[in-house]
Amino acid sequence: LSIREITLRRADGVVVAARLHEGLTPEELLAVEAQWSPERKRLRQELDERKATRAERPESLYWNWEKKAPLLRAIEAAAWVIECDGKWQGAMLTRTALRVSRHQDSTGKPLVYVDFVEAAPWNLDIAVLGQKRTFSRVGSVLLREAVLQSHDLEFEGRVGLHSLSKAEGFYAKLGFVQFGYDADKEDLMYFELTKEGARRFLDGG
Amino acid sequence: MARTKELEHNRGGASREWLEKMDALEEGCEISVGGLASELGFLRPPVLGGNIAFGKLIELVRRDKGKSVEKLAIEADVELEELLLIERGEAAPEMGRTVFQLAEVLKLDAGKLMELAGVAEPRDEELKEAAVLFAARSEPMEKLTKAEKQALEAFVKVLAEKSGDDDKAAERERSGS
Repeated sequence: LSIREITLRRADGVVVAARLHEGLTPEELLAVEAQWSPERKRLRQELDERKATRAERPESLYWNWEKKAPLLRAIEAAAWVIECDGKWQGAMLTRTALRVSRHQDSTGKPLVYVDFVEAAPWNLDIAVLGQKRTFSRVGSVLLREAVLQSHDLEFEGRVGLHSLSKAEGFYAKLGFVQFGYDADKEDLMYFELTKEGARRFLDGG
Repeated sequence: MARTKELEHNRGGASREWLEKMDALEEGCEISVGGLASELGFLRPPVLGGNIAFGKLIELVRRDKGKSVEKLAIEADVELEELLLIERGEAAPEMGRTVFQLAEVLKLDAGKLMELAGVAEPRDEELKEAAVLFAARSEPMEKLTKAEKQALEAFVKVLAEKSGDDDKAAERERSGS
């Protein structure tokens, strides 16, 4: 496990010091989820009280990781978690074995597959509840780590992932190429960052 | 390792300019990635009949072993309310732990029970079908026992009194009888 100093941006625009924890096991993510769980429950109740529509509810508020603990134990992956203000602010999990590129320029070449990215429940914008995220840049900081991991493994920065529908805009803006909806992943959009895309991403677009 | 000079620079930490550009890109965006969630079944609806079959199974095995709901809740260290809801098929067990504890006390196969309860991904199509059939066939058909009949009659009587003549009820309330 290694810890590095990074920064996040608070809602009032102030940049604050944070720490990036690298090298957690998928099972250790349960501790992160356990910290997020009461807040998720509170938000779900508030959304129920407001009779929010399905579209207004962040989908991940309804996932129960605790229930899947035995399966998480069996997954071989690496996890990153951002800590700030004494709380977990965001997490990512990647797998590197047997994942290959679908892009025509690099078909069959290995890549880093991002299995999971999530912001803490207080870092979600929930318009119907008037909630604005407490900290931003969680996604950029985590995805940067995935690209750097890909370089470290000599995968030339290639990264693949399946985005939830509401996050598609983010990955398109980061320069990921869209490959269509995958039937075997509940029709989630598959995105890939190519070698060139990775270079542009690290250069800041 | 063939890393570019530029990458070495990046490895040292993201520059302020990069972070500011990314702040603008990320603003208002959700970032959720769902590959693992899809694999773990979070994006799929639960197994049809799973809750009902799981609840019925727990109830019947509990009764077969002569245990009350309270006794099972204590032995398995499960909240009484959760156990009641589970037996009625109104709730899936909140946690894998609940299923493990129930399986242990009732001497059932924890793995299959996890699938049935929707805690683990069902691998077995036959189990799914069997679950629905079991839920349907375990609905009681036999006549009520003497104790059940007495309990039912007593409750029906209370219901009849409640929905009886409103004036009488109001009068009874006023007179305090």
